[in-house]
Amino acid sequence: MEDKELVKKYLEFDDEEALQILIKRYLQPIYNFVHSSIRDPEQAEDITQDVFIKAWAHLKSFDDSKNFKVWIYTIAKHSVYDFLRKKKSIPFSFLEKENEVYEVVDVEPLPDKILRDADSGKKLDAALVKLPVNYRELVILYYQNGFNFREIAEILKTSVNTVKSRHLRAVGMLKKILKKKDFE
Amino acid sequence: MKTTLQKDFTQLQMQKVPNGLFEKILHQIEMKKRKHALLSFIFSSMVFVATFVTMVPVFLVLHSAMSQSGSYQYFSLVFSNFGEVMSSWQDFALSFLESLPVFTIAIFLAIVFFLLASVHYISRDVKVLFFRHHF
Repeated sequence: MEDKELVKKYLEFDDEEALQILIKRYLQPIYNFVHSSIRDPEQAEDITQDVFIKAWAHLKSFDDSKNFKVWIYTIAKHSVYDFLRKKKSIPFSFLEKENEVYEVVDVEPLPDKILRDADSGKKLDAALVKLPVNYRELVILYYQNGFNFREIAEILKTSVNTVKSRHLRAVGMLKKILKKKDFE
Repeated sequence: MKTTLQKDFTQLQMQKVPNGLFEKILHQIEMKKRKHALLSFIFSSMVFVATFVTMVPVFLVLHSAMSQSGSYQYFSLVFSNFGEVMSSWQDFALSFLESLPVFTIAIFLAIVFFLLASVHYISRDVKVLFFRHHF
């Protein structure tokens, strides 16, 4: 059953099961997204809980002409930013890196040699940690959650062109990090 | 490029959702629902009591206003002299409407509306607070 139908069933018929299916469907990806952004399992658990409670509380205001997945990820992004703002880590990683000028990189796949290793997942994970949070979440949304640039722009409340240029920078930075000796 | 990178990202392990997180979320939602229902129940009960208490004197005022305005007399004509009323029903309807104490009726109907609305919300909140299947 589609997300919109589940939302409708819950709102119109107070169908608890529909709500449970929705939460089950998005629990793993949202937890993963939050965890990838803040890298703290305990805080990620609290924030994920907060995301679903906020989503439930605002379910009536969900516009069913929009994509539910995009909507719930937008809530998740806001919750992550709120947390990072409280921790005061946003200006450090978000704004400073945003204004830095990166060389335009070619968009070939990440270094194959590195990724062919058995523990390449771990290496990629470690490299992701070194990315500023706004690049990291973009990469996670695009490659792991399967959103397109337009949807990411909607989630991050920015333009598609900004998303595209951030994506190029993010991939470039990721490649640089992975090519460094520490990661080989 | 996306396909290749996506493959790379599949090697990233999904973080395991902590045990009991799903239940915690449902429990939190249930608690919030119950809190909301309790507040609504208290407010609706106050509205119910207030409107119920107010309804009696307002009804008496309405009854007295109807008697004084002659609305009852007009109304009784429908039963006592139906043929006459039907022959000049337009004049009768106008006179009857003019005789009605509109302001008092509006107040009375508003009180009835709030009373019924409070009953509706009380029954809904009681279901959430006492009869609902909990997570």
